[in-house]
Amino acid sequence: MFKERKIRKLSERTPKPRSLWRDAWRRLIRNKAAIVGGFIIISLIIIAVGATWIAPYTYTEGRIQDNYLHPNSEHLMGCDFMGRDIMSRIIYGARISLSAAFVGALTSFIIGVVYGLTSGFFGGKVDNVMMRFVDIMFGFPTLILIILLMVYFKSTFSVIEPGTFRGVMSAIDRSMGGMFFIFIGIGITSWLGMARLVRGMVLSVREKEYVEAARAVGAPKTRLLFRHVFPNVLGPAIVAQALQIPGFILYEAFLSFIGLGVNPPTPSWGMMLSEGYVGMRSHFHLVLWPAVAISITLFAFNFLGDGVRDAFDPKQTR
Amino acid sequence: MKKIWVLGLIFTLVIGVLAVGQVKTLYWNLNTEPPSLDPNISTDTTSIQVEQALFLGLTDFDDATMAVVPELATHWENSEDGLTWTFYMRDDVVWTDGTPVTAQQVVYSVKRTLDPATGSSYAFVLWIIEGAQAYNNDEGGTADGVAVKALDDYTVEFTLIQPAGYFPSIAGMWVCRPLPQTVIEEYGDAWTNAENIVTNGAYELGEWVHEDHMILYKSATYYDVAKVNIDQIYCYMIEEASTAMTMYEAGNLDSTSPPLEDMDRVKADPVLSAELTIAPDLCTYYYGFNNEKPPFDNPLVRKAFASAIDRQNLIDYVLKGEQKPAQTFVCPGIFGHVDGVAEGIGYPYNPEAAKQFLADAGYPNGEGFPEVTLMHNTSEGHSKIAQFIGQSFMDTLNVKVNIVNQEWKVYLATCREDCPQIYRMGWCADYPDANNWVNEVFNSKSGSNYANYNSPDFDALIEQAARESDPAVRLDLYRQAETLMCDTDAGIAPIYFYTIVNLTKPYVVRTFAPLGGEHWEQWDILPH
Amino acid sequence: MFEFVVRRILWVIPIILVVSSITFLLMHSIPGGPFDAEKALPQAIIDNLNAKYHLDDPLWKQYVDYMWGFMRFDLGPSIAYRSRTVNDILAQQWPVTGLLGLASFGIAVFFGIPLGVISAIKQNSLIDYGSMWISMLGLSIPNMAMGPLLIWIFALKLKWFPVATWGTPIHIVLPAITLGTAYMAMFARMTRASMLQVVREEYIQTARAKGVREIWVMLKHTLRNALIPVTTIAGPAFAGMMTGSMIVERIFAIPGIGKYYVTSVGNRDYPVIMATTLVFALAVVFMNMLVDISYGILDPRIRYN
Repeated sequence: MFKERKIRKLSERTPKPRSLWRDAWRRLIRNKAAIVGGFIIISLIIIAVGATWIAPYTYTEGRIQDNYLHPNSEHLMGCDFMGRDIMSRIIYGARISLSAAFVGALTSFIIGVVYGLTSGFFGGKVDNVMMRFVDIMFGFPTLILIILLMVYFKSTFSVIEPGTFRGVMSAIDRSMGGMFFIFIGIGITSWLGMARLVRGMVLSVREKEYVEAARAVGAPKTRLLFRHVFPNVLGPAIVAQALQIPGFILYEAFLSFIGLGVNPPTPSWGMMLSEGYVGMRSHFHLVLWPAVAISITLFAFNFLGDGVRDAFDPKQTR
Repeated sequence: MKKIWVLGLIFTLVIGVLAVGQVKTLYWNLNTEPPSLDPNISTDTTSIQVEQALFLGLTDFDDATMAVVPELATHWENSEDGLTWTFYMRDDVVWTDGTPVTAQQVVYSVKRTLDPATGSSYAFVLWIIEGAQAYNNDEGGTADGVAVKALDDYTVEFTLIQPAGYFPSIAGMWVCRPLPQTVIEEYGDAWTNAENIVTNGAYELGEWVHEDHMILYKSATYYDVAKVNIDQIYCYMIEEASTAMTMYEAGNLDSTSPPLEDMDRVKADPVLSAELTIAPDLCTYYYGFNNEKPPFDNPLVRKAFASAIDRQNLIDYVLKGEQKPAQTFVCPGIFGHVDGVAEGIGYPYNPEAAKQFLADAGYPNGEGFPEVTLMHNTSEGHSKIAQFIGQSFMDTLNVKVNIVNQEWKVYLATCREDCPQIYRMGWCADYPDANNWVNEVFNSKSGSNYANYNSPDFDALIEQAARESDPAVRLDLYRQAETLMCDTDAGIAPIYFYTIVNLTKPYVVRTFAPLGGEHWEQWDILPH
Repeated sequence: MFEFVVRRILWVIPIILVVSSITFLLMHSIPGGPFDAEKALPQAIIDNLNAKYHLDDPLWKQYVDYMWGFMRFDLGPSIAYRSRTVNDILAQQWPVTGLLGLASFGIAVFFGIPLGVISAIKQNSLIDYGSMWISMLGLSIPNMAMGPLLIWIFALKLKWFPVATWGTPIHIVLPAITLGTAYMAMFARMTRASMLQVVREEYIQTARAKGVREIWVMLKHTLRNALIPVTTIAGPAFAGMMTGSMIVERIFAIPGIGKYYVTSVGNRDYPVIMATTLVFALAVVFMNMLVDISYGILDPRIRYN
């Protein structure tokens, strides 16, 4: 009887399993810069989703006679080389940059987490081989790989052959304005760090007592994996991924700049930057607005990412 | 007193040295590292420009009239039947190593260009020489079978397969300029390096730092050295057009092509607009149709699209270089040119007619018309043009056009193997005759005929024109050919004729060479 | 330490093998070959050229031949530039990129770390917020916008620096700033965060209690330990700078290997692509090794482990 009471009291005093998240949230809210960043990102998401209602024009309409118009009352940010309204294109462009950020992050997250979980969980020889591969791939300069991949994708998958694999993939890519393979390219080249991180955490969590206890009680391996290992890995993994997002946005801008990015007339900010770049001295507004848009987005993601990382940091005493 | 004397002397000496030592330098931009300075294999304008200064040809072009003028050859004559051409060379031209330039070196160069092992992309212009094509195609021909020979040290004789009045212009092209045989045999592919190269032109190669710059010095051994004013040419290799423009404005470059985005500012600026020159260039920009791919196998569809291109707005708002709208293929200035706009050949912009053609083809108001692909090679400029014209197609004809771009090499491979429905191409003159255009591009047997334009009548016309000697007859034949290709069959849709848009500093006294490379040896730099 | 270095060097071999095979396969899967030209070559000539460069050998044989040459430091001819060998190209252009990378790295480290230290010392002051926001600016403005902006202001208007090209030390300044500011920001933020963390450790309080002067506390004790996590980003930062040079070299017309890489992919100049990728990979590996060694020097706990 004694024991039962003790056990019950113990369970009452054991902290709830999600307090880490609540602590983190509390810390995050107190970080002013992160709040500003988060606010900006939420605004961007709203703008991206509501683009059709917010934008004064569509991103393809324009009179060629209006081209290069400086900002005026009808076109608050001026017009681009085809007479299209820049503000509308920036608004629609939010979709592209945010997709690159989120879908790219999601792709790399999924690949990295699955890889790391598998490797860490199985351990032994499997882990060894899998991690050696990661170590080796770390030596591959990312940008070089992404350039080669994008050239390959762009040249192989730009056909119109309904029915074949190539044709279907090309159609998907075309319907997304050229974004599909950029996502894949980003995902393929960015999962390494995540895999290593997740695998390291899996290894350390595996040795923790509560996992041993669960195993002793006879819990099946899958339950171990999903109930105990995974939730503890999730937090830092998300943080690590969030910190990579500014890099993805820059990748997309860089690829569009060297001609390996989206297909026109898709209004990605990187594309607008590269289209306006040559005429920068004559028509500064062509470059100013996309550059500001990219910078603000990167600002916001950097601050939010920092805030999330600080929030999850167990060593923080504040 | 003495001090002032000495100071005065030193002052005068310094001024004297500065004046005498005033080296006239031209600062030029080559846009990119020249892939090679070997005239036999060069295809790009950068290499050809430098070779123009380094290597002399039998003939050259007069910049103003585009007439063929003597260079190494003082005069030439052809036989009665027009098949044999004999060129008589000067005997006072030497290489930078002192050896004379001889006819045997011309023969050597021609055969080297045609040698399949050399891999020259321009060998086809020499196929008019008897035995050349068989040798070049490795179809059993031999070097000895090529009908070019040196009658003596300073006389070269060519035998052609058919009469060609334009042959003297081909004889001056970079692919048959005499080359230093001993140097090439000694150094192989490395013979063009600065330490090995031997040249005979107005300038010699002084320094070549790859990807960075090249310096050419006036050649002391040039036969006409007294006439050359500019002592050295410093060639930058700046790829980025806007960086080049900035360098020009900062005073580091003496000549540049302003990017079209800057054209408005240039024209509005009092200083820059005075330095601007716009002159006709010898190139045509066109959109081709794959004549074998539906729906473009239907001439009415092709005519519809050809009529939906708003050329004037494209030129005024997108290109901004005062280009000329084109309705025929061969550009003005080339023998065989037909003014389509003036004579009503081809399809001007006419939205009503375009819609009518499409309806006649079975797609009233674009109903049922499949999605089509418009492809171009990756470039900002082509992308802008494609977006404009693609939009024009969509608005006029109510069809869906997908704009796809591919990187240059992939694009060429695609055009060859599975040409897209609408593709973008340009063509620039190699020599001033329409044969270089309609025959070498759109002859149904030509490897560059991506449009798969296959008309036996057309082939017959242009092949006859190639054989014909009477210019009036030839002109008429070319008119018929252009009418057939650009009007009756609408095989392609020519868009515009290029212009040279150039900014040059006012202290540079210069000419503009429409063909080949600039003649730097005729320029001068005033004190500034 | 010695066996650590040796082990790292041995790692180079599998890295080279994997990187080279992936690059090789990708390269040859991309459609279009080096001899596709606008004025189409007759098939006979294409066949000849393919034979000359051994492009008609089976793929595995081409790979083996290439790797064999690589090990003897013979990187092959350049297909697009016939008078140059890849060895020549790398020898001339690699040092340029290396110098640019080093200069940018220098800017990042020698401006970034002190900025972070100052921000940490004067935490939450105007200086702190100001420098963090300025460094954020550097991090957020992409290279392709910053380069021309710097040229416009400092070269064209103020005429303090040359517009472009390479040659004298003054030519290095603007490109290095363009390339280095993003990493300067990273180093600044990292140093600041790390210092703030270390400053709360007990051994710092001990030092203060011992009566050590504040400035020494900061510089000698705090900074030394704060630099440990900072070195972890030095490796990727250097790699990033090498590859970021592609755009900067193009904008400033610098004859480096980054600008050349994009051209060689466009030209399908296979030997150059392979060589450039491998050299980049080796540089990254080498840099990572240096980082790990300095990690060991800075953190005695690792050394004695």
